[in-house]
Amino acid sequence: MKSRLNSFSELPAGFKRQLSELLSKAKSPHIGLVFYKVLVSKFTEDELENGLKAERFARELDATLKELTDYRVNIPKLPCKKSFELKTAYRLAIGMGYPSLLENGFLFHHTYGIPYIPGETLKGLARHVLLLSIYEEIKEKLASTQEPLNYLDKYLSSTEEEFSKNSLTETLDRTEISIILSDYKIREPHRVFRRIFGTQEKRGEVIFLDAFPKKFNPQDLELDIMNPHYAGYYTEKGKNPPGDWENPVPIKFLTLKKGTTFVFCLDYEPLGEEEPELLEHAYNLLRIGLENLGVGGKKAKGYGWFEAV
Amino acid sequence: MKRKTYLIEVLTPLHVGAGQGLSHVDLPIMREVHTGFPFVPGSAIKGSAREYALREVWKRHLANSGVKLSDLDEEVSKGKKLKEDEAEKIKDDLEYLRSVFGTAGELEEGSAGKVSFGDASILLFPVRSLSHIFLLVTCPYVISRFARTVGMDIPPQKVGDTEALCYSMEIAIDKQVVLEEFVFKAKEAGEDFKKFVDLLGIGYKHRVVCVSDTVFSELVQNYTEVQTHVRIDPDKGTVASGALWTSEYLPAESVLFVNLFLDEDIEYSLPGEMWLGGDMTTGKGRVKLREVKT
Repeated sequence: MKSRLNSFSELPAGFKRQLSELLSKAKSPHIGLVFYKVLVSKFTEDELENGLKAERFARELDATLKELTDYRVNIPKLPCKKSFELKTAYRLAIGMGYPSLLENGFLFHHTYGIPYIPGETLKGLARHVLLLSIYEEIKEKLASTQEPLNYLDKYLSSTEEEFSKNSLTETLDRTEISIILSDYKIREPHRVFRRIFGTQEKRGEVIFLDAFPKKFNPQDLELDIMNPHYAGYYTEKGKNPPGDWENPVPIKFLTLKKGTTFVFCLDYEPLGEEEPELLEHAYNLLRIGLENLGVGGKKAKGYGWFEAV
Repeated sequence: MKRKTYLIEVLTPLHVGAGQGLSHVDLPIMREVHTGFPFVPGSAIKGSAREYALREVWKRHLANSGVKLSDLDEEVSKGKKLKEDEAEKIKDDLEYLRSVFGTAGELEEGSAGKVSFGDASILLFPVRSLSHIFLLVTCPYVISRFARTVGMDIPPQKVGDTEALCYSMEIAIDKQVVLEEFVFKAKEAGEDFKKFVDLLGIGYKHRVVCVSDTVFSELVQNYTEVQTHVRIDPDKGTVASGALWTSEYLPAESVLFVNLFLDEDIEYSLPGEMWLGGDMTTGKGRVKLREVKT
């Protein structure tokens, strides 16, 4: 990423000026393209060479997004067996790990340029909810294990042979467990887990599709700020005390606004047996995860949580 | 031999993998050796289409009788798997599946399928733009390759390295077309090009632009979708050590074309939609298939 940005700043000045002019006339640009590449054309050689201030980048980004009032996007709709809607209960910060001139990144869909939640994030979340729920049920049995959740995870996705040999299988057979943070119940959760999420030998029977916002405007993207006061304390753990003589360091990052409705879609894997109960379990696990654990960054601060529409 | 030409419209990112790579991507997609263009081998299409056809038969006749789909699979390729009365009940379907997809050598009178599946080649490649979010890019070489296989007469398009021929000038800003960070002079395409685009019958035809072979090659090699994946350690809540990898996808909205060659005495059509390639359970590889009449 860095090398690409560098090579970009080395482009002829005329070329950059042209791109910056085109950007100001663009009505429906790919926002990911603007955020990660084209917005750089708005800054001078000097600014880029002396290290562009994230603050300056944020202001330019904000102004550009506000101007896109005539933005048109067709949000893809895929046929699927089970779809449901939830809205963000607070802001959503997803893809913060991608490098950008704002210091933190944001996840835009490669083709459609809109925020979305990847299917694999959703599958991972639903899987995590069931894993924790099974753990709650049998944690006494796992007390002596070093990394109990990792052990349980390995057991649940092991080969059929190992699975049937393990004593946990007998313990969980004919057992009904409660799913954490809810009153939803699943019978024989270990077998349900293997069927929904797959094992080392067999792929899962449920497909978790990418979730897209129902509607999207560039103005739905909001700049947010984190403001660590004790930078020295955080960067070199234990070396410096968190002292009041340090100055707060405001760091901007991009978020999707609160109250954005997302459409979630689940489907059967084409070789599965299309058992409605399985899809119902997957739906509940995912919903419980979205409403209680959230997705994306800064979940502990309430970002990325969902609620009923 | 009859020919049927299908368009494959990629609805969600498509990963038909080439195994481990030596490039900056850990899991690259398959590419043609001579052009470097992404492609989908006929075997991958045949595999998915066969799975789909088997499933249809299984759902209609066997799903409630405790026979597994894998049993039907074995019966079709090798025989002697189903009970005689079950096999008798679906005799016509078995015969049809065998004649379309062929059998393994073990079966008496084993045979190759009567439908041969070609490789799918790229036709339109989506690239991020400053207008209309993304544009669908093609090039003279790709068009002539398509024209040759379907036996159409499309005169070669002339386009310079700094130009883009547009189906519709509405995608231009100040008579220019932006693809990623590159700017091209927009030129209205000729009637031949428009006729070619119309024939495809795609929903986004105003988005189609034709760039030079060199530019197209650069775009399909360096501007595919690369996703970063991680595995979270459930005990620590952080990325498990060593569990960060990247994989490459043909982006959603890509369009490929594929030729099927059928023996005169067989009727076969690909399903309207199916799954292709890897990472299916996280929603990757949903494609739409549509026959183009030429």
